[in-house]
Amino acid sequence: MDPSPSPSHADDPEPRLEFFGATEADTARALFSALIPDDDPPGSPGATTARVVVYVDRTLREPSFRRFHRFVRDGLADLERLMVRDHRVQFAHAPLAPRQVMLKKFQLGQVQGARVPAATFFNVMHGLALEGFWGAPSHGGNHDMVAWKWAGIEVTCH
Amino acid sequence: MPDFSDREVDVCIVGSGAGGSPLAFELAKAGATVVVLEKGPWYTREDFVHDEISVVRRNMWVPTVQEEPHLVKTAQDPRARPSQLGWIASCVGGGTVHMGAFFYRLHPEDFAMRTRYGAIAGATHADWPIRYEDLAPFYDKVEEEIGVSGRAQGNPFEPPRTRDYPLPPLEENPLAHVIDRGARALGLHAFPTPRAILSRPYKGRAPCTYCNFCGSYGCEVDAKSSTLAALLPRAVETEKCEIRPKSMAFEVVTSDAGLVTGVRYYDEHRTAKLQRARVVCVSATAIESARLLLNSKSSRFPNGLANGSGLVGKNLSFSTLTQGSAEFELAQLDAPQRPHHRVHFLQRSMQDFYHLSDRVGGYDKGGTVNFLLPHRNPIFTAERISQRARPPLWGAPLKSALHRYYHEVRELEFEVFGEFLPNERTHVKVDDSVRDARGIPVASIEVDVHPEDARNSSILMERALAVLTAAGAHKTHRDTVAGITWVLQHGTCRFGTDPATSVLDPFCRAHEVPNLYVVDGSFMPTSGGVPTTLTIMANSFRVAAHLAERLRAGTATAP
Repeated sequence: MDPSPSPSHADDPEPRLEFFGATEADTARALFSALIPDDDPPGSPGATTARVVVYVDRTLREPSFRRFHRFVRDGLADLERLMVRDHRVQFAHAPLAPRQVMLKKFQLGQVQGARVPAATFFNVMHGLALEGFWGAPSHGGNHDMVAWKWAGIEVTCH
Repeated sequence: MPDFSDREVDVCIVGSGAGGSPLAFELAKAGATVVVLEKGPWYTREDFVHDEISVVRRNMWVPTVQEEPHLVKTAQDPRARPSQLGWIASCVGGGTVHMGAFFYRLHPEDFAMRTRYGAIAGATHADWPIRYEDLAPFYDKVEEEIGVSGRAQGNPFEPPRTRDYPLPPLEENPLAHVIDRGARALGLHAFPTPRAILSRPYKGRAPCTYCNFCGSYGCEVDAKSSTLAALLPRAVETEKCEIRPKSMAFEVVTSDAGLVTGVRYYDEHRTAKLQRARVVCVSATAIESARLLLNSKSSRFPNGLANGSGLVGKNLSFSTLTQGSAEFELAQLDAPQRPHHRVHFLQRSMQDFYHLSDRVGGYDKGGTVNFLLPHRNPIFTAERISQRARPPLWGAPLKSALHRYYHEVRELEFEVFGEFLPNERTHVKVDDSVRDARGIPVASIEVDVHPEDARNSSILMERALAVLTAAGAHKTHRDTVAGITWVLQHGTCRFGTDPATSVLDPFCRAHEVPNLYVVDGSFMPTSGGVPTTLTIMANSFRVAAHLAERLRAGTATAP
């Protein structure tokens, strides 16, 4: 299944991304949707419904995250390069299963030829994805509180 | 609020947390002019939102590693690395603003660990120069002054007390009866946890609204009895006390005569200023108070202020952490226990393992078991569940595990506040080669849990899990053994009667400097088997009474 940008409601379009370039954004969306897939378990929200990419884009533009910029861009480029090398398909357009196989190798530090430390890149991006999925919507992710509603938790931020 | 920046005040206090605030309050009420220099900002209730990202995952409470690191070296990693470990909270009110507010007293035997256990290889524990009876009236005072809720005589192991708590215990989640069931089955004694949280209106403050976001967060209704809510406004009302936030103390200044004369600090524009004072009280946390003294060198004190003994920074102790959890299938629970309840406090503690029967005749020191519901923070929950597996879970497996967590089971957990023996491999120094963004040498901390405490932590894990198993848990998790609760820190300026083996006298006055006091956790020669916030506050009231008398008598700067 091709990952695609979040469904845009006419009255609630996804904000423009400002950190990720156009192709980077495709890779980032594919990364987050592999880390937190939609509809698995069936009926559950994932990174796409929750607009995790919006959260990460906004967070990386905060001053204290500037030192991660090179690391994140290099890591996304690594994902693309190694996916093409090993699976002859772009990460951004690959099905879920091979994306997850590649990410598993990153998690275990079992990739050859990555420029970034692979396990660290996995952990940082998974951490950001979890924040974007489970954090307050005011930060850009957990759109419409989809994650909190799925968990059945009420979180009041007054 | 007065502005004392251009004058010599009676007392300058560095730090506005559990140590500094009772002093400020009592001394201002006694008529002394007081300046409190607080490094961090002065938050108000409007800042206390339930936003996990803003409050817990960014830098609301502690400095970033880029601005101001601690250097930390542990047994697992022999290199000292920049870290955020070892901070409590840099804000007006200090750690009391975001604490979980578990307020237990030390036990009488905690004051004489050396007499009880004798020498233990590698450990540097010492008896206190005071006893429980000396501190007991001040435990009463803290409870009454700030508002602590609990029930006397619920705990057969509790230390002696002459009166009940000023407030009844907080409401509890129905799952508390699960702990009661497990305790009864094993002949143990679960009691309602005493909390520095109002269960009723008290002294003009509103009671707890059971918002379910207590620990790690500030209280938006002032029901949590932080010093920010409970003491400092009343100190300011005296018109004798100025609280100066965003003021980072970097040196305590001494005269040729060997008396302190004031504190140099950076204001929020990083301009160096001097606050002159007749008496200085350092209350910046055991780690940071030691750092300040060690950075306050002079020809008279080449190894740091009040450090002729070489002991400033040594004998650092924490609380030894044991943490575990257990899952209960919904079907095993009574109907009221199944839904997510309005009240998130479990409110059950146990001191049956304050001493371990497994180790009778040896080092038998355990601690207090605090049973809790896991924190509500959703991001933290996802990480916690993820990290139970090796390698950590992600993707659909993590989502399934979280779905199960939220919909199919209830989890209960416990944390143990265990004794942490001070030892030769746990201490703080300063590193002149590593400076913070203001140019101040940073604290360099080395830590190691003593093997005796590590061993007892393993025993405590099994004892606490047994309660949950006896209550019907179908699965248990051993999360942390021999860990460290960094926010509970003590010992770096221990008190005692002998200047060769202590930095401070029994009233927390530096042996070598008659008008210098250190009033936070630094004074404690041993940590005890409880979280020490209540003890730090009680001692601060005790020292305040003594110092107020000296100020009245005009002897505060005399030897």
